[in-house]
Amino acid sequence: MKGLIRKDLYNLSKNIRLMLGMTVLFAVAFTAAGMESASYVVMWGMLLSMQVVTSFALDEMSKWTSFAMTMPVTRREYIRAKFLLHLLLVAGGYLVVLAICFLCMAVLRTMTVAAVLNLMVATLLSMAMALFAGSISIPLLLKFGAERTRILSILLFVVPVCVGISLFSSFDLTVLQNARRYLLFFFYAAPVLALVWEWGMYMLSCWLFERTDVTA
Amino acid sequence: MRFLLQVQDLTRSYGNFVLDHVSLSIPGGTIMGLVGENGAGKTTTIRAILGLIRRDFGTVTFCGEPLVTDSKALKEDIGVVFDTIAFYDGLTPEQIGHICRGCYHNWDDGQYQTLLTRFGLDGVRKKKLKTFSRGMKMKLSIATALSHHPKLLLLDEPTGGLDPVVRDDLLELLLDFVKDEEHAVLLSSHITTDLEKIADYVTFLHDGRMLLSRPKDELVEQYGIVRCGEEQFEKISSAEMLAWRKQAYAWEVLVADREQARRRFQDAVIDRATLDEILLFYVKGEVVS
Repeated sequence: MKGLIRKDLYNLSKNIRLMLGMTVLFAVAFTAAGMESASYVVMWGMLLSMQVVTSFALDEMSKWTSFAMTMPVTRREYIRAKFLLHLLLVAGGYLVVLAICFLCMAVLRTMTVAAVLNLMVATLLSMAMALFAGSISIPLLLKFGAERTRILSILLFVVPVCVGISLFSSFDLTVLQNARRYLLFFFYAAPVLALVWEWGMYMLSCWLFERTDVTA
Repeated sequence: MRFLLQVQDLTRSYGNFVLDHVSLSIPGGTIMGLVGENGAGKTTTIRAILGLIRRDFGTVTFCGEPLVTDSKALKEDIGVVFDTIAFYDGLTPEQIGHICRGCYHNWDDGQYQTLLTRFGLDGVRKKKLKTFSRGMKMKLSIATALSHHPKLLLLDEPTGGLDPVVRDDLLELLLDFVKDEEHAVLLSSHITTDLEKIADYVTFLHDGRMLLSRPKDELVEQYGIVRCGEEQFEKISSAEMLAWRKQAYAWEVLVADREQARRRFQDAVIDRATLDEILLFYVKGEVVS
């Protein structure tokens, strides 16, 4: 299974280097412009999640999956490697972006308690979104392939976000204040809920892949 | 005789296509050729053997053990080469070695380096696959397949698009591989001249069905084609023919014993039958059951 993750990291290395470069650029630009680093932390999350889709796309292009299944690798291990890759990219990626953000704040002397807390909260929420988005992609990829999943992923996020924004704009905010306690619960529990969701998607993906004919 | 691979009644249905009760057995120290036209079911057979696709019916045993989808331990001893290399073009042979080391317990880095050198790929270890020719990629696939010391090699149309020199290298390598009784090869191909050179057994597939499975020497040394006129054709009994075809000005009959046919039909032209011609008789001719 180590070999499978290694293969994906090699395949994605160019993309990861590119994303790192973009992150440094955005971090400097946003911080220098006095903008909250939270915005590009969220963007970073979405980019990271899509890397697992890219790994499947590269596998399809090179007909890797058929070959992998001839190796001493079980179907569950194949899926486990994809989920571990996803977790590795999200965890590793956010550590890097946090480090870059703190460095920028230190250099530009914008590091305040409020700014750091804001950044940490944005990071946690963004990580939860990235875990949710990436983990739901994997069963979609197994069922529909890389191209259709990219389109479905856009629908999966754009539609709820649009619905959320339109609901929010017509929402009576006093209701929110009354529900503060419950909102705060979801707020703090979001990373844990995302991990539970990730586990659920792992089990679903194993179930799907064990019933799939591997022809690509 | 110890069989390394035994396939019994392998069956899989796909809409209009049915892989229909295919059976074959490969003894240690031999090369089995799997022949058939495009769409005959060669790749489906190999995929079903490896558990990549579900089997509707049938059993596969490797070294006496059932070979199923997640037979992790057994797959350590099986090397597979598909018609295209299964690694992303942006990888290098060095990286591929690292990947395989993480997947196979028996991976042998020394063997991998030796094979890269033997195939002339040592100088391009750090170059990306996108710069490789088809022949180089196939050699790399084979180096990868052999570097974990497999007992069985499964090759699915590995020689298509390769020049005669590279094909000859590959065939020589396969002959080396089966020199002892501990190894075997299943080689699927529609390039029958390759199989005529190295195969010990040949199995013919057509439309998902197994037409025949015989030792290659029997097919090449004993089978023959009787070319005659209509009058002579009428004299050949059904018991003597395997299949026949009517050409523009002559009749052609596939017989199982060329020498006997020479004694019987002294006026007819009797030639050796190549594997290609045998396949054509069974696919396009009239088979006598």
